[in-house]
Amino acid sequence: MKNWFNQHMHTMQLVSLRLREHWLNTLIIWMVIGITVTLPGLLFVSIDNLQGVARNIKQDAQISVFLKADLNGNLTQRLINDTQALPQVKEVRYVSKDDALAQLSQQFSQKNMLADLPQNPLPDALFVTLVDTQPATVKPVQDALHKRSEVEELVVDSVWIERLHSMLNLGKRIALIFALLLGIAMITVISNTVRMQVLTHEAEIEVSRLIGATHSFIRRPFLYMGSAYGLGGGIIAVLLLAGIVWSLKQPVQLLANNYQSDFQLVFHLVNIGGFILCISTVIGWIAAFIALKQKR
Amino acid sequence: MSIAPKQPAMIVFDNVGMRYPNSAHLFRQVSFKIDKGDFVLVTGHSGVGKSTLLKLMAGIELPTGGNILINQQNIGQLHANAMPYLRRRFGLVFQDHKLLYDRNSFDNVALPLSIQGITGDEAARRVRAALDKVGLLNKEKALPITLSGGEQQRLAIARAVVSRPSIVIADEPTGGLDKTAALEIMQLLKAFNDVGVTVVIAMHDVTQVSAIAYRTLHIDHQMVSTLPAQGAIL
Repeated sequence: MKNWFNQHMHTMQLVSLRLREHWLNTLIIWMVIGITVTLPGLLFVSIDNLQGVARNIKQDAQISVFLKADLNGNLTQRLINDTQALPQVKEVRYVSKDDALAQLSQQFSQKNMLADLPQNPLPDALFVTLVDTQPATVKPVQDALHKRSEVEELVVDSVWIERLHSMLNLGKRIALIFALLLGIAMITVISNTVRMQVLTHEAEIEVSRLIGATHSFIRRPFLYMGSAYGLGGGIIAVLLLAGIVWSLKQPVQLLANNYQSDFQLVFHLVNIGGFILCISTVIGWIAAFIALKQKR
Repeated sequence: MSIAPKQPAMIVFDNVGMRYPNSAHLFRQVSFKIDKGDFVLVTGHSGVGKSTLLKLMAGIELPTGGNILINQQNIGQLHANAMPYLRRRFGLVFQDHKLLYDRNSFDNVALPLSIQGITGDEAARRVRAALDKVGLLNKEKALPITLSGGEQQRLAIARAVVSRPSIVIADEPTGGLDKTAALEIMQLLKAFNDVGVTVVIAMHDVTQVSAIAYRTLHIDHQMVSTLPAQGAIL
């Protein structure tokens, strides 16, 4: 146990020594990886922010349901009850055509204009408020109402929200593709670097093997090295992202103010930053592993 | 052969055959025993297979026929993962030293210990003890390239013995050294033998070391013959 701990401590010291010894090299690799990680990171941060906006939209999703003319009271009541029973529905407000006309005429100063109409042209209507604006909530209610024969027409006020969500999904997918491509680039860079190091330590590896080093003893420093490259690059990426968000914060706020919004650009250091550090460290390890695999 | 009551032999070759791919046999059906505490010379012309015999003993090469037992362990049946642990029982001195020229004497000697997970003060103590034994304690900071041929060879011996192996195997340890330096090396190896370490040395020029008692395995025409122990002719 003590030996095991010793070996890992020793390897870490060795790796940090090698990193310092070739500090310029280390710095260059960290920069390359940092910038490589920053690009998809920026996309993720943007999406994260937009998602925050979408989630915080205060306006409830509402479906306006216009009923067929001359529906009898029982049928209307049944439709109201059935709609209310749906789990996604928060509130159903019934507005009869008479009420609607009264409301409308209140808004117009010239009552005569409406009084001249031969009959009330407005339909009875239900205004269905939903628990939230997610497409998964809106869709089933919309479908259920669509099937009802009592319904003449449906107007969903939240179509734009649905579009926003689709766009966000598309954005996420694009970010993922970027991340994948750049992840592969990262693996190539790190694994090439590690392979070079294996070559420069050829003599040491040979001797170690001859005098009884295990496979894992020989591989360990290189695996640690790969992880160190990934972690260092990740730290640079997080710093870059934080810097970029910080520098964009004010212009974005200004823009948001122009739209009467109190939206603020944020960078979730723990969530996104932590995720970036973990993933880049793991990628570094994998890259080193691949380099050693190719070796023997 | 030792006359002392038989304890299990350290190294047993039982009908060992060896050939490298696409070449003729180096050995056919070679059998011999090396007991604990033996001081053995492996002799023969160059190219006859002395190094290969040593590599077979140390488990670096595997035989193409027969069995090799190290401490009653058949190395042919050993799992690949167990091989590193077997090798740690040997102290190896290579024909070309295989010192690492990117680090000082101290770190060269510390390598076998760090492989076994021994670091820090414990390691430093043992490294200095080994350097002291070979007379290089005052050169622990020196890079191997700055050492003389004899000193480099002694450094290689220090590295071989630092992990206190029960067997030391040295391939031409006196190669390229003048007579005085060669004798020093041989006396050093004999000193380890005197405290119970089994020592096996490959050597083509035996006249250099006639001062030391030894048993000889002579290789000729794919066969290994055992010559009786020779007395010290100091």
